[in-house]
Amino acid sequence: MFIEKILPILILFPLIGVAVLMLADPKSESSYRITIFTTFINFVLSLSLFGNYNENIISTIAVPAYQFIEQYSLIVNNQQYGSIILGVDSLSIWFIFLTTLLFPLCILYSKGKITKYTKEYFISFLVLEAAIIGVFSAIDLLSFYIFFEMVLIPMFVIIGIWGGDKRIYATFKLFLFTLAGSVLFLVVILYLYNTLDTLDSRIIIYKLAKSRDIFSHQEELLLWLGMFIAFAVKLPMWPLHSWLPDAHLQAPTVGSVILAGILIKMGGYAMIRFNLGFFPEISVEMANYVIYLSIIAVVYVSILTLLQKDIKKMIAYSSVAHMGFVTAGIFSHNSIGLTGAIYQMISHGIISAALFFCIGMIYERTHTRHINNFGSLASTMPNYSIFFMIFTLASIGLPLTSGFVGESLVIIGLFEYNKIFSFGIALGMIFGACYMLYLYYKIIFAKTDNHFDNILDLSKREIFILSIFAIMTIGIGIYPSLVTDFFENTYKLNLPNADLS
Amino acid sequence: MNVLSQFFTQYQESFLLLLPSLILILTAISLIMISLFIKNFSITHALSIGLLASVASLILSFLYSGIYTTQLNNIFTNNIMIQLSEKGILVFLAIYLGMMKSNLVKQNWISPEYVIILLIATASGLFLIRVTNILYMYGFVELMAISLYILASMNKDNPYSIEAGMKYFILGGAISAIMLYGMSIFYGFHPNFDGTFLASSLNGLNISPMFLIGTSLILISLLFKISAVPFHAWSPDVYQGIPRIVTCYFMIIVKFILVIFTARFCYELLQYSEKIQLILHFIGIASIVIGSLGALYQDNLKRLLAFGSISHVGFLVLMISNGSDASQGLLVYMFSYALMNFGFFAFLFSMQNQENNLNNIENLSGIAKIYPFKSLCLLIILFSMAGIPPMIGFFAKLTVIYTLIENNHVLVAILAIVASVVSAFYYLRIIKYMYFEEATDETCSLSSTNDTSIIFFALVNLFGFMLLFL
Repeated sequence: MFIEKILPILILFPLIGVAVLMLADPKSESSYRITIFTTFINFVLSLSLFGNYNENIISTIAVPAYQFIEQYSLIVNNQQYGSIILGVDSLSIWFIFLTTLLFPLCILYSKGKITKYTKEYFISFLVLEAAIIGVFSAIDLLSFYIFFEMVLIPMFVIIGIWGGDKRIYATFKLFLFTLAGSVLFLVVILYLYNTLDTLDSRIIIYKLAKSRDIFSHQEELLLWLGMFIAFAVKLPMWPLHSWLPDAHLQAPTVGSVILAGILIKMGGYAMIRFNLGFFPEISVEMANYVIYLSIIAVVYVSILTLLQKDIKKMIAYSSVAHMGFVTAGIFSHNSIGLTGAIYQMISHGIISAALFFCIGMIYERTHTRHINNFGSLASTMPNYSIFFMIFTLASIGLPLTSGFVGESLVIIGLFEYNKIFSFGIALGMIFGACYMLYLYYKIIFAKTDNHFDNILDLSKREIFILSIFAIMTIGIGIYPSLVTDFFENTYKLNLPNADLS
Repeated sequence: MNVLSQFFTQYQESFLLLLPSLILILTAISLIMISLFIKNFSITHALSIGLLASVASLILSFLYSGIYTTQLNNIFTNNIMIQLSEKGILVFLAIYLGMMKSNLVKQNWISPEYVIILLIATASGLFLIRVTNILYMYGFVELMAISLYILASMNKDNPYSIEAGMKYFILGGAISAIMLYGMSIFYGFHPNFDGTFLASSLNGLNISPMFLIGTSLILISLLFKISAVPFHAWSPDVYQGIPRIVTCYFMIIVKFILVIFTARFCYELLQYSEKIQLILHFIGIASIVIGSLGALYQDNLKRLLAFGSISHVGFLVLMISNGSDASQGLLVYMFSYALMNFGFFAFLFSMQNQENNLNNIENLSGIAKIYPFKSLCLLIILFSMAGIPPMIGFFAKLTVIYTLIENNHVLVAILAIVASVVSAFYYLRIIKYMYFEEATDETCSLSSTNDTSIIFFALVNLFGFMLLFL
């Protein structure tokens, strides 16, 4: 009985933690202890979610089969008005796992580092965790939207209070940009509800697939575009990406980790679920434009990254580039590309989280992020150099790391669709190698006059955090079937005129 | 005796219908008498009596839930929207009087007359939301307006307050003249007009084109009173100048009454002519846009709230334009608007300074470190006003947007909601001052008299969406 209600528990447990935190004393360690306990229990719960997941139930985009469904309906006078439906399928379960994995590590990292507004810090993170798990487990559109927007509130507070110098500009930009995109999504949801009389995404997929005459072609195009713009801002796609570098630059380390690790994935996840699920034909039609934008994102942004002088901004731009792979894979017309996109999202979550942790660790020690100020860290911080090497190679896409699997699957998928596109994307991969190796060289190997001789190497806590990421990266890289089998058998597209392989 | 009992049985229903307003008026009159004869009759006593009266009329308003027509058919009417809004007005009046009791520190100008005039204004408002006859409408509108002029100008010590009250009086007087002119056009061109503006009686008349001119003038005066664009220019100045206790009453209860009456008036008009919908759409979008843009760099919290309420009135006008089927959604928005603003005002009342209560936004710098709990409550209320889920402000806006889409006005819906993103900025600015800045000399201190109200309204804003499940 308990296991059936695991999704509401996963969402409510952090909120219970918030309630307990309200009563805690801000000066003592208790707020940290409560939060780490709550997030760790959430992680254990998500592991049990994994354990109890029935892999024999096949779920596709066209006919999603959710498990652990919980429905809370609004019934007035024996007439059902709407309901909150929660459930996971083989796509969302990975993101929930990623979320519950990242949060305890983030809280672990912030032990003792927060001096002002300690309680509010932990409260924001717990609310953020609840909202993110809500996003990935929402089946009906209204609760998806509510959780989607709810994410903005803690992010606004986190960047605004514990951020860098220009944090106010950055946090307002993030909030207003994302809000402006999402309200278009709200209009689309209400329009769909008005026509189809339901907010349940499964029923909407079914109704739209059954009869192509519900909406005219132009209506469908506008609806698709509305949703696409909302998720493109979230992803972020070029040219709607300008909030991301500012937000990352000014956010605290842990904020960047969550932002790059999870929040960005919400856009990709929503694109797969809603853009591909509701309007597959329009997605096929518009795929070329999306892939053009993705190639520009990968190539142009990678070149931009080479010019940056701030190491955090380099990693932020590299996030945009990696997300270009994701969108190219989603709209690549075949399931190989789609698998690659999903895989790339998961692996990028791990890799970029780890990279931001790395950058944060040296920022904390040296208080500078300018690329010319570093050098010779190989001698002073050898452990750190090893970890940083692992994540640099993973970000480049070296085989045996998870970055390779995602990017190569996307390239193969695009190759089957259009050879020129795959050439463009692969070009981006080369530039990725350029800037990451340049970054690594400048930080670790270059000989400079700045001697940070007093820098301590990684503490035990930091080694623990980074090693978890390293194990996951290499583990998934060596044995990608762990992840892909999970949804390759369970994820098939039903695209018209598409090649199912 | 027989005649009297006949009179009562004949008008019994109407009597029950008007009982809440009658009780308020009787209380006002008795307060006048009491204050003449009892020495040291202070404002707190008057407030207690007023609170008792409003709770009594609230309880009594639940009595009449019967038939929806009355014998006074050509003067008053009754339907479910009117009933719910009457209960809402009385609840909010009770909340307001309760909040006022603890917030009278340093208000030297206040006296029992304040409560008397307040009760008269609310009573005339309760009459107003029912009225169907144009002459009676003018009577109640004027009664309410004159009471409001007095309330606005009551603080004679503060020059800003006198200026605001004067501005309100002059502009309100001019607008009343416009309303009269519109009414006279009605009567002039339709000799058989018996005064009721209900759509059923209008369709029986031989309507000349001058009907629209007359109605437009009346509509203009109503829109002025609810501060819709382009008749909104008075409201930031007036709301900023008058004392904040009076601003609370104006922005919540008066606006409630006037919006409900404007809604009723427009519903009849909409049944008569569909073109009015386009005008209302335009006014709604313009209000949202100008309300959002106007508030962007305001420093004074009351002025910011005034522009914010112009924006909210824009949403309300858009909701009105959807016709009487959408009246339930209108009430949802009004209730959530009132609850959000009550929360903000509860916080505003507790702001104290050594000098005058300036209510500027800089007075909130860094206040979150000193008063974490109250700042968290204000954060919830501000996000609710910006329309972020899961607060009730979002659900209110959702209702409006959905009703617009339902009636196939998708472009209007998109414009409305994109303009409301702009309004999110200035609510976030307040949060910025609270949380992201350090405490300065300007920072005010918050008294703890309103703690329970602030927490209560924050909780209502946060969990109010569950009330939708009732």
